[in-house]
Amino acid sequence: MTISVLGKYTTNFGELWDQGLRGLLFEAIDGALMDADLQPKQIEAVFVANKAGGSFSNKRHLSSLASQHLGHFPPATRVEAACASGGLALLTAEQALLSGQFQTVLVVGVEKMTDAESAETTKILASAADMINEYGSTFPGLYALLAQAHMNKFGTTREALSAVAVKNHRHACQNLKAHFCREISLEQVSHSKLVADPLRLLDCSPISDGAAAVVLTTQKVGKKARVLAAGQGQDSLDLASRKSLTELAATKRAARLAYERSGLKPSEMQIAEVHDCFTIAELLAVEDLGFAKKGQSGQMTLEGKTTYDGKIVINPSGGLKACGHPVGATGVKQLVYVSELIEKGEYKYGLTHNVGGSGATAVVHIIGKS
Amino acid sequence: MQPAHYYRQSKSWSKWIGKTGRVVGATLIRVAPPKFSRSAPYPLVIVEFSDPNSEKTQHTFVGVGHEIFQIGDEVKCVLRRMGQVNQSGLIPYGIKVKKTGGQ
Repeated sequence: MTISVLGKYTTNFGELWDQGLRGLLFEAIDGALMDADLQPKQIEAVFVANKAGGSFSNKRHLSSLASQHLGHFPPATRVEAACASGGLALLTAEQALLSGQFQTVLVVGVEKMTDAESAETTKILASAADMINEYGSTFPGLYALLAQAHMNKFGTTREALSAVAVKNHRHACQNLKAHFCREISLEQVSHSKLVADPLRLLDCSPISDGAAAVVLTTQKVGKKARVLAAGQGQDSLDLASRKSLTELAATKRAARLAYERSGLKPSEMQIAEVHDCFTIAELLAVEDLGFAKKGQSGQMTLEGKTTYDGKIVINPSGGLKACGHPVGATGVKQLVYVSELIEKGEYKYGLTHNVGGSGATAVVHIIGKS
Repeated sequence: MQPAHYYRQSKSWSKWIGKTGRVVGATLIRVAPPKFSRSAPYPLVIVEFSDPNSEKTQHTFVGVGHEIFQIGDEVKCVLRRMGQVNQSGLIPYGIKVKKTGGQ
């Protein structure tokens, strides 16, 4: 059974004052249907990825909203796994397709974050951590602990972290939907305000609004990108229970499954949208996904090997850092972006990597040509 | 924190108070969530505890004070205010870690 990406769409990502949660949800659904050239009633089930609509907008039961918007009330499911909601919703939809119960389904990820003030947003996002065992923590704080561990063990430098942000901003300038289209310099990143030592403002992905949707089908369609395989991995919610702080075991588990199921190797991946919620997260991902040896991702980034004309293009969309990170939408947007590049014929194989919390959930997808 | 949740969580305090351990990871949180805004900047640390009869365990705690801890610092678990008074009037306390001066 082959799963093809029949239609795909992302909204703009950014501070979208004129759009609320519903508007973004509906725009993405309509956009994906139009791209797929389908009538709404051809969608047999819809999967909604959203982390915190209940907290940001006091809106829950988004599944029913999506179902109603389609008009014929197909079965609808909301999936939440913090920042991995998008990837997990895709996986859930794929499992529904593989069960044979549905042939054509729609997956939409959405998040509206910018109506709240940043302190409130920090609190809402922190709820993806362990609220009992990590009380008082923030996400920058947890990833700062991961950065410290990587820098201490492997000598990863401040410059290597900055290079990730610089590269992703440069990539985003080619992405019309990106939150930021503004190049930044290594000095700007390294001197930006400290948020949680050693992570600085420009090490952190922004607060963004946005939505993304795909139509997935097992029907025979030509010339569309295909989901070749997917894998999911889990690890402890809290950092202190992890066996190692210099890797995300959940990513490694998810990636191993995806590579096994697709029959492909890391060296065959030509592009990858990875979960760079913080610059350190991209460095960890590059290693955990098998693109660099342990401890080498910083050097690889500094040498330009994770961009065009390098070994593999990491985050061509600009990643979470520069394209933006509307939490529920990101995992779906990653699939949209990679599928588009593969459909255009620019690349043969691509990978997406979506993480929830400080590495508790990870979902990896491998995409190829039809 | 809601009062009921606070009550349940307070039952674990006696397990921690006085326990000593060593810092294995440390950061300083400068941008804080609303209830901790008056504590900022505050340390967040991962502490390794060695119980004589069992394996080493690790736990994350907010640290006492406004300065970053160093890896290797010896610390002790203490009961301290955890952030500001919330809307229900609760004055939240909880376990933090304090440097004991050993290294």
